[in-house]
Amino acid sequence: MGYLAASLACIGSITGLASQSTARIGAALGTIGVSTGVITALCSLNFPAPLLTQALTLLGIGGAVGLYIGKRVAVTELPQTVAAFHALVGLAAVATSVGSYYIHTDVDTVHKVASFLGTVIGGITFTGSIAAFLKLSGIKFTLDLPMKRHLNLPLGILNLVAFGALLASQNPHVATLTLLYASVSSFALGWNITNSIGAADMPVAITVLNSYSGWALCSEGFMLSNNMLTIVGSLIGSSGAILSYIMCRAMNRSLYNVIFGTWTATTTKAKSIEHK
Amino acid sequence: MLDASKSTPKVSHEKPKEVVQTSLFKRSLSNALGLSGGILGLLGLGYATTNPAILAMSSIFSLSVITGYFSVWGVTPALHTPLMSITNAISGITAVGGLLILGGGYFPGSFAQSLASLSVLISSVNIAGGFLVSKRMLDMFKRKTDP
Repeated sequence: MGYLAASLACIGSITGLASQSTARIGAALGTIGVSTGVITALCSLNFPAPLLTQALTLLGIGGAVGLYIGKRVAVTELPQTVAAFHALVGLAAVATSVGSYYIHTDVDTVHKVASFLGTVIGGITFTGSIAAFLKLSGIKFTLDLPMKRHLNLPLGILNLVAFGALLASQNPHVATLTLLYASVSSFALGWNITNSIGAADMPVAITVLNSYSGWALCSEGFMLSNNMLTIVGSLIGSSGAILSYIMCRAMNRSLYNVIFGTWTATTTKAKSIEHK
Repeated sequence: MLDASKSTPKVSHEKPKEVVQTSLFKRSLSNALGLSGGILGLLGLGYATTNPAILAMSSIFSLSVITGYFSVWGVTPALHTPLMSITNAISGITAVGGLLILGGGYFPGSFAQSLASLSVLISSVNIAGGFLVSKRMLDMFKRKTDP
């Protein structure tokens, strides 16, 4: 019941943010929704005292750090702070997916698929958000992966191979290794894709990553059989996708152009040089 | 310099309007194919999964995708960034996922349990920080008439 209330509050929050008059109510509803979700989880799990202490300590430390960072940043630095926070969500999704698979290795196909998707999408979100944060904050740090223009496709194919291996293998150790491999390669993939997007397009890129993290959350819900995670995850995923579409339309560009624009642009430039 | 740039005659960039000619057959074919693909997918899902819990989860999933789809179409452009920030803060609900697999005593006992604690810790950073940041963003857009 608490999960249902939390999901409804989250839906109300996103809907409320659509117009200026209800935006503040929406923000409050979001806070209520997420805290209700966390408290419901704490209550329903019936933790013994030591474990409850651990959970509360983690939540307390994390919350304090978050409040400190949120208070301290300057107003102009808010967008990149969102990107930095976003990296945390991606990493959390990877950690939960791998950890959950590690605990329950004897699971059916749906759970395998869900944990794999959670790992890959979370990994892309993690490094992608870090790249977005670095670009927006103007830190002069570029790490170009070797052969970065030809890297995306092989990485994607290798991910597919790892997926097949995970589905086929009965051995839990091999399966965990494929999950770990998938997380590393999706880290590389996320970094490579987002690092090539120009800083002006970063808000759209962050929204796309936001949508990704929603889908990661959704697969976590499937993996842990938790309705609230599925509801909130697919809500964030689809609304993030629509929002990035709307933002692209406001800039008069296409989504494909923003995400893969650099690749096509560089190839056309190379071609025009050849023609000269 | 400024005057010179002002005095230059405006060049009209009007493109000739392209007449979009998609044949009716092509459009209805793609519509029909999409619909039948969707229905086949549903049938396949029902055939492949024997577990009713997963079917229930799938229906919840599709309903909330539809909800998310319709909830943001009317958003005002000034609120794009706060909405982005709020959705980010809400996705900090990964903390629940971490809590569900949390284990051990005062400290996590195994590799998987430490992953779970890590997940709870960083998601809670995101929840607290994310909502604070989005509140500050909304305060920037505040008008005098707003509550």
